[in-house]
Amino acid sequence: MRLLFGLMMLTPLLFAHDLVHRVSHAECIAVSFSYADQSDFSYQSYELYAPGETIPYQVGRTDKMSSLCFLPTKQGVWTLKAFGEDGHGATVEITVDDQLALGGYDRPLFEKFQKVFVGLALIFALFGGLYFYKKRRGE
Amino acid sequence: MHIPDGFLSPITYLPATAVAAGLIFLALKRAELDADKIAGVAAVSAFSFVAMLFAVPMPGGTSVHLGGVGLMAVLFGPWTAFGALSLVLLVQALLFGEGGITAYGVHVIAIAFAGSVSAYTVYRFVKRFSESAALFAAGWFGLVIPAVIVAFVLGIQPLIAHDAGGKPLFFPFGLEVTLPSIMIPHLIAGFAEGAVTLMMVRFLQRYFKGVFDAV
Repeated sequence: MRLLFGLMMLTPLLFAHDLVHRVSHAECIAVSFSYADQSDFSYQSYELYAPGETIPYQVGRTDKMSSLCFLPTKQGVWTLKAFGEDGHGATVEITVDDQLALGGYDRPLFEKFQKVFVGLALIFALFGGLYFYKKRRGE
Repeated sequence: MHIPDGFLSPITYLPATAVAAGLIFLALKRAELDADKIAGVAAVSAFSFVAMLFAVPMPGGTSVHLGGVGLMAVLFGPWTAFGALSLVLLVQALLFGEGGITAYGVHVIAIAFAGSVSAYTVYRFVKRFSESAALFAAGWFGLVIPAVIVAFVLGIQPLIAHDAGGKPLFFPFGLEVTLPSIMIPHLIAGFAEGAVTLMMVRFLQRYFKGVFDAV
């Protein structure tokens, strides 16, 4: 009887390493990568650091669509480092607000200056057209 | 300094657009722009476009940026400067949302016309005493005069466009708010614009004399 009781007391230990799971719908912060020519950045490794941390909060690989998601646990600037197998990579700083929602992020240099490049090209094109018009009229 | 769409009442922007269209028509006739000058005008227009894109946010909800208005007026004369700046403002409004499309007429009058004419007039007057001071003053006035007009146009919106209860229908703040919040930063930024105008003209005179021979 004692033996049986002893075995019954030990039964919870059998569940100690059982992996349980829970599936829920949560709003995460999604990051998508692509090269400047729109080619994909799928299955590439990344490391995500919480504000002020040196040990990664999350590591992994981008998915088939070159994206990744994370659920932030604290406010501040999160640092995401992506490493391509061809040696290219990027570091993205993502600001998480006090509601643990996306507050902002570092825009890529190209995106930041795209407006400038397009505007300058347009202005030079317009004046170029004017130049040829004037030249043809002999002014 | 650029006013977004929705801030100005139709009673403001419709006449302003008509006046701006008239001024642009006049500029097409009066601007002296031969083919040899176009490269220079294009380069300074590009500078003006870039300068206007980098706006620094200021306390009071406004922002301030350089404009290259004085530089353009001094180098190419007021009508050519007006035409080129109107084009820059049009590109900004149509393609990049920098300033509303309905506010384009006010921008043309304030920045391109009043800015160019005031900068050029001040330059011609002060040049008799000191060319450096004249260039600096042209830059300062080329930024500050448009800011005065923009502040005034915004500030009168509650007076000219409100409902029966007196509630503003468009821009809600009066002159007591717009004048200090827009003018104070621009009075200070005018010194930077003046310095940039002076340095740019000196630089262009020295290294691009063939292209910029108007000064």
